[in-house]
Amino acid sequence: VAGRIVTAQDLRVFVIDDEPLVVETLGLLLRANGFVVEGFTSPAEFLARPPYDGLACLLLDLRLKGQSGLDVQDDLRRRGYSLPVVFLSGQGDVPSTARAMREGALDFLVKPVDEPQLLEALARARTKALARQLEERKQRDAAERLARLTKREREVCDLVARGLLNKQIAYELGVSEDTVKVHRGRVMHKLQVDSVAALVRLVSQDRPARAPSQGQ
Amino acid sequence: MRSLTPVVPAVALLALVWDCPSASAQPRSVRTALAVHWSSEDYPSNPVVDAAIRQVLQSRDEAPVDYFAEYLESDRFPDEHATLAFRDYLQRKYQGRRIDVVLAITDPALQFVLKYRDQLFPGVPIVASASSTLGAHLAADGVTGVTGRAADAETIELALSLHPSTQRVFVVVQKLTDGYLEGVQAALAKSAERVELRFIQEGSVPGLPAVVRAVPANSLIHFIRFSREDPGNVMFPLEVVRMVAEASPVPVYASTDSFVGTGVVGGMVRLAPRIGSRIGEIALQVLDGRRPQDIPFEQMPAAPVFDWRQVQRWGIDRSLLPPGSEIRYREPTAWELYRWYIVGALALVAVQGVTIAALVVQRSRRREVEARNSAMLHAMPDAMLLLTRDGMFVDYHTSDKSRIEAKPDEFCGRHLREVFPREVAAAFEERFVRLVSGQVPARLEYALQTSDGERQYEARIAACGDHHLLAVVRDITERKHAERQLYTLQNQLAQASRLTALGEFAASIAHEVRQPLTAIIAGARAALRFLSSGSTTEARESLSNVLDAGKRADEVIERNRELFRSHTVRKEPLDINRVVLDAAAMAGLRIESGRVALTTSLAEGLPTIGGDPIQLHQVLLNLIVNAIDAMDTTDAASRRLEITTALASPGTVQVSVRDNGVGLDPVDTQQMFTLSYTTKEAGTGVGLSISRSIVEAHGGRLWAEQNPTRGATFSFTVPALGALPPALEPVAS
Repeated sequence: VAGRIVTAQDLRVFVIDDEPLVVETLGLLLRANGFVVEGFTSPAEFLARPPYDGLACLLLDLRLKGQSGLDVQDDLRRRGYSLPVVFLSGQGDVPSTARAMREGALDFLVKPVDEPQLLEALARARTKALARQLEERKQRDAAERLARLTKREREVCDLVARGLLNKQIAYELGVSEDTVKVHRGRVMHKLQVDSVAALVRLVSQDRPARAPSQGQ
Repeated sequence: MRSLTPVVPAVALLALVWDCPSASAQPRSVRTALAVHWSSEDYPSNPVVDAAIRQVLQSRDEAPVDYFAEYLESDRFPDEHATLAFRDYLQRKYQGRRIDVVLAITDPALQFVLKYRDQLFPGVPIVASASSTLGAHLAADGVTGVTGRAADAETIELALSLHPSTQRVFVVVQKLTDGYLEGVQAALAKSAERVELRFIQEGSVPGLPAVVRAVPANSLIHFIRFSREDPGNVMFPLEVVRMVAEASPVPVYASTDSFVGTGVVGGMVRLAPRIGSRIGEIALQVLDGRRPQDIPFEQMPAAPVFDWRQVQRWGIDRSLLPPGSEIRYREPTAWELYRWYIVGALALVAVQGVTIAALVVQRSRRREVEARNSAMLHAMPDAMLLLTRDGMFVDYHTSDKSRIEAKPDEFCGRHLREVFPREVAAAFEERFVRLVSGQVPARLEYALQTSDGERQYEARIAACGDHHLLAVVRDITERKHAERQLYTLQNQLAQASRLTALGEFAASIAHEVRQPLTAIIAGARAALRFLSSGSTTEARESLSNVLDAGKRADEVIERNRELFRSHTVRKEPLDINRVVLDAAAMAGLRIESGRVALTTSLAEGLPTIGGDPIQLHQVLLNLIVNAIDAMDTTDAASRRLEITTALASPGTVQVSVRDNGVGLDPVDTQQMFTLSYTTKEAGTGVGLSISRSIVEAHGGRLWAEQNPTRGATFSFTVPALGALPPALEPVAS
């Protein structure tokens, strides 16, 4: 039988389950499918690991020792983790499934889970993680560019983003319109934007608080 | 009879003879009084005054007075010669007749009497009713009597008090004598200060009504005196006042007694009868020898008098009338007329009412009692049967005839055995025997085929006198039906709780079993992947994991069984006998429907055990039901279930449930307590397993033994409360 070449996956899978055997065998199965896997038998272990920046998802047992997977999901969100979560549960009862989904769980798999459902769920998780990574990248980029501005330039930038005319900005800041024009030119240059619309988009991307990344 | 008859006339004669001398024995000196009235005899006040005088003067039988009355009609015959003719008439008429006292009523009469006193009645004392102006100074002349002027001012005062908004008073008065009008005006001087007084100056009677009619509102008319004396067309003041009152648009008042009734409202008047009787009384004093000089003139007060019809006509507030007013012409009310009839009638009605009320109350009470009794009888779905001790029907009672299937003559006088089916009659007779042998009232349940289908009855039988028995029979079909339903529900509940217990057990193992299952599946899949990519090392690792997981699954199941077995028990102090009796009661219907005879033999003085009553009930019910089921094939008449309690060892109580059913297959005793073992088609196979778990959780033991004769005995022990659980007994499985 010809060996099949398994394509390497760019998605890193974190597995948390209080049963080491489960962590181990799921790890083997996922590795066999080309994923990079890191297994943990408790949420604390996972939290002790340095934040991971790349594409990732979390495979989380719903019934952990002394703790519900739903509470762990909650906790992670509060700490700023934004990676998609796929739940694994011994029994899928309606209330906990509903709650998990409401709180942003991507999928809800019932143990014992077989390979196809698992891979399918991970594929969906990858798509979501990718979208989220892109978003974060944009935010980071915007923040970096805005950081290049001087204090005065930043003021002018914000007022432009609010839709004020040069004349109004001059009045607001108590400077001449010509000065405003000079600042504005520098802002456009530093932010590498060529239109007011692009500038507004960039500033608004910086707006959502970067809370999730603070914990990482 | 005969001898009595002559006596009566003799007595009557004697009485006559007796009476005669007494009448003539004291001849009295008859004195004479002569009254001179003014105006004609029919002048309204004259008969009143005269009658009053006459009544007083003749009131004393011991001093009779001859009383004569004459009438000076100078008002109608004012000519001097008419007066002289009257004088001569009196002179001739009373010539030779001693007059002891002369009564002169009114001023004109007094003036006449005084004027001709020497010719007519020389030296005779005079008692007069005169105006005050004429009174007092005459005392020295042997004249006394009563005085009183017309109370015109007081009348106007009274009228004003009744009509506060009055602005004017029109006075109707006629010149009578010289200075008369001036006198009236002087008397009314005070009234003139309070209200505008106008004297009607119309001189003729026919003109008067027109004048009166023109009187404006908010006025009053005070009628003093007015008459017409044209010869041939005479009108007394009485008629004039009537005319005036008729024409007047405002209330008319007057101060003359006799005017009240003609249409005037009323006034302050001197009452004619009082004048008459007072004069009479004074005259009597004079006749008795008192000198007139010694009797001072007396003032006759005026009193308020009203015509009720006028009071009502003018809408006068009755409460304004002065207290003590004399009210005339009032239609007496029914109350006044028939007061006592009314009181009597009311009393009668009241008495009747009370009687009727009492009867009604009594009747309603009786009805209430009757209704209650009848309600009780009807509410009592019992039939009462009276039987002889031999079982012969004597009598019966029922609230509802339809409850008795048979007609009375079909069973009265017959024997139980002729009326009831054989088994029922036998059961009755068996109870009778027990009852007669001195035991407590017996109870019996039986079923009969009726037109309604099978119905169930309960009979309570008690001795009734020395020769009879009373059976109170109650139809308990519905109750039984309800009990059966309850039993079904209880059964379902027990089943449900068993299933719930299983469900929990299942759930608790499910999660733990799924973990190794997950590992097995994932490991196997991984092995397949690795094998297909040639990674044998990883494949081996995966398969080794699968193996581990398989073992883990078995461990999980085993651990859970252990967990379930040593499930902690809530322990409360319990009397094991109580638990047994409760469980037996709960299984009552089942025992009955299984036609099983239950006997309990419970040891006394057993120690209190510690346990969960519900769980122990479950164990006992389980054993009882198993026993009953085991006796399915046993002859119905000989199915016996015996529950005993005993002290197994100090600190341990033993309960045994013994049946005479199919008994145990020796092989079964090894497996019967395992989870899935059952010989019943409908059984879940968990009954004994769970029972054993429960007993063991209580620190006791459950086992089964084959009886030497027939059937099996299931026993379990429970340690007493506080007693140390026996050293872990080996688990018999």
